[in-house]
Amino acid sequence: MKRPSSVPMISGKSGGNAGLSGKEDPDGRHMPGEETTQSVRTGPKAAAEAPRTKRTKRRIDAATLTVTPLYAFTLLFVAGPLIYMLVLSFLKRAEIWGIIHEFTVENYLKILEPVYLKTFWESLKLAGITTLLVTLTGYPFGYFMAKLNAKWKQRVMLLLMIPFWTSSLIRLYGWIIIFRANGTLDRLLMWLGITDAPLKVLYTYPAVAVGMVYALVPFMIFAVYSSAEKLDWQLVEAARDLGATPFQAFWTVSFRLTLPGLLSGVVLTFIPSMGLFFIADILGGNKVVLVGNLIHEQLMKARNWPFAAALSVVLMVLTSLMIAFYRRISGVKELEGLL
Amino acid sequence: MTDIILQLVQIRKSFGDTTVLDGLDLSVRRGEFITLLGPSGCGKTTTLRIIAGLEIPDSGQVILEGKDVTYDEPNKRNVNMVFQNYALFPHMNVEQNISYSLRLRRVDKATIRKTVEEALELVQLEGFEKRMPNELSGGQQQRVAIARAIVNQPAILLLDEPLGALDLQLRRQMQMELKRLQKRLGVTFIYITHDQEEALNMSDRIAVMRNGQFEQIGTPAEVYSRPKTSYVARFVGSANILTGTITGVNGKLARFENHNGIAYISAQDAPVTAGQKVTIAVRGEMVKLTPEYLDHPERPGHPEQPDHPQYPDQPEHPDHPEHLHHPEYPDHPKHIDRREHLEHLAGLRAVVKDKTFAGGVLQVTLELSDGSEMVSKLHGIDLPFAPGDRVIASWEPENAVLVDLEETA
Ligand SMILES: Nc1ncnc2c1ncn2[C@@H]1O[C@H](COP(=O)(O)OP(=O)(O)OP(=O)(O)O)[C@@H](O)[C@H]1O
Ligand SMILES: [Mg+2]
Repeated sequence: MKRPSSVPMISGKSGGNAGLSGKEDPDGRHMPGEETTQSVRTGPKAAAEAPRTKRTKRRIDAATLTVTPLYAFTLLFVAGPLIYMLVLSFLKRAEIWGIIHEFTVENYLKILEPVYLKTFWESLKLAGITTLLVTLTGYPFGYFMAKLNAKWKQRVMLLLMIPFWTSSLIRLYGWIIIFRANGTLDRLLMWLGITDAPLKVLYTYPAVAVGMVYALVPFMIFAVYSSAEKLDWQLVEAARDLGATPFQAFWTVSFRLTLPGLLSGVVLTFIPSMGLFFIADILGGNKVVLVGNLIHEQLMKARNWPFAAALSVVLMVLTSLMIAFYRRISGVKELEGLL
Repeated sequence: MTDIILQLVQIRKSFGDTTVLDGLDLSVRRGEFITLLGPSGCGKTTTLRIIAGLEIPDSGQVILEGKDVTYDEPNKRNVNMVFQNYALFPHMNVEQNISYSLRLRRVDKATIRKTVEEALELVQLEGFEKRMPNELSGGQQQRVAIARAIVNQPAILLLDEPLGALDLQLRRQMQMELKRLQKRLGVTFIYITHDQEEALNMSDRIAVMRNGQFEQIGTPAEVYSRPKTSYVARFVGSANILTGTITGVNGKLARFENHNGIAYISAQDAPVTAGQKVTIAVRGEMVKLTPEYLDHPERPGHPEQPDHPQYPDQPEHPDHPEHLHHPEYPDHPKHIDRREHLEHLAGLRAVVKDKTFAGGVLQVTLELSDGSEMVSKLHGIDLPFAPGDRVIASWEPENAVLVDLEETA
């Protein structure tokens, strides 16, 4: 199984993040707890600002020495393939195999065909649904986890980490056993007398959504947790003391102060969920086709590399727009009108 | 005529195995500035949190303006708290912080603006409306926290060591400002501090706390000059605590003895009888020192009689058993002509151990013959006492206070 195609794109966008952190699990996902979006923000910007002051020049030189190989590495392994892909997307495909070096925008025009547009739309929709479900489950989980005492925090954290010790693929096959006709879920429901015939959830849209939520919810939990962890609970008490009901105190104080965590959780959920094609593959059969599946198919089966590249470029642009949007809103200190 | 605004009745509170509040009683009068004074961990914050509703007592009642609010939510109580670390909302600017409670109550915009303006003027922070909390100094944050707590016009303002994080100079200044503010608003203040000087400076009444109970509640003067227990005496103004026996009472005066010597104490406030074991408190600034070379050979503690203290006696108590066989028995011819002199020299033998000069006061640490220490605070720097000198420590009878009467009774 190949890496989900979206991952190098995120890393590519983050300009050196892949090279700096380099810490990815076998699925190509960033490890939990790592503040991906943070390094996106600080990495290149800080380096660009640094050489301005004369005083620190010496230190800069030393810093440059360490940073340079990293940038070179990034350039070679991230920017290189990206540029290659970009070039590729403007070339023609050969009849049977390979490419013809001839400029064309045909690949991009092809995306505008209803079938492909619909795939993009479906992907966005599934990503939206996934993100919504992940938010609804992951936010309260992460928020309340931060309220636990140290001992329980550790235990819950361990429970959340354990799944990461196994390949996500193997865990997905677990879902097949649960979802298939007369599988664990069906038998449980029938035994409980809730249904009297197998539901056959496998290869349906809900199965894919559950798989997506399952795969992505830890990232939301960690993002919200790390932000709720820093929350000063005395502020909530101050709000209550000043006349806020528990909900008002949550909404005007806790929620506002954990919003950065929630937003990075949304980014960490939404973007990968457009590319996790293997979940749609395994749990959705042929019924759910996402952009990731399409790219995979064009690349591996149809052998239309330029078209696959064009699809990837569009997906990447969409993702970048979303990151830019996230940075925009999380960078704004005052969100007026929330209170 | 006392108008009680808040009453705590037998409040108990434990966290796990530790009992923090152990049957606390307190009545707070409307408009007064009352300070809870006590060492770290004695339960001051817990008491305040129970009043604010942030903590529910295990038993007991909180009666606010005649209404039992023990189990009411914090937002249902007409009290506001100024937290020790201010707890300003970091995502709101000064104006938004101050207007928080008003906005919750959906007060109209014009009124909010006016109230915020007034509050800022009151705490002398005009023009700071748009600053964020992290753009303010500690003292300014402090003022914002107070402004935020008073705009709601609470019946009681609870302040948990509001000046704890400020440096000494700013602290002094803020003490005065707070006191002025309290006078001007007429709001009841319940104030926490473990700085006794601050408590004495600002309060109408001080409640000295110990192990989850109030040891003494009274005006600063009462608590300072008439401490009821040795704990209060030690905590407020670090008084010297001495134990001994009453060996004679003469109307207003009682004679106090221990193996360091004798002293006279006032017996006006508390009735004592001869033979009673007592504890007395004497403030360092009341203790006078006399070099021992002025002393008479019969003087207790004189090197000639190190282990055989002799006592001046009083004819009022001729029946004291000890005196019947004592060489200084009143009728003893050699004694009579010396009595006055000895009385004049009443005091405790001590050796100067150490002296430090601070703030215009010479603080002399004395070691008594039983190894315990005593402090004398004298004015002037050029005093003839050096470590190792033998001295007599004495005081005016009315400056010694009988403490712990209930405990020793
Ligand atoms: N939530 C809690 N859980 C367990 N123990 C607590 C809790 N809150 C307070 N305590 C304990 O109760 C005791 C009294 O605490 P409190 O905060 O009231 O003291 P304090 O008088 O305000 O002290 P300080 O002057 O240091 O602020 C302490 O021993 C503290 O450890
Ligand atoms: Mg405290």
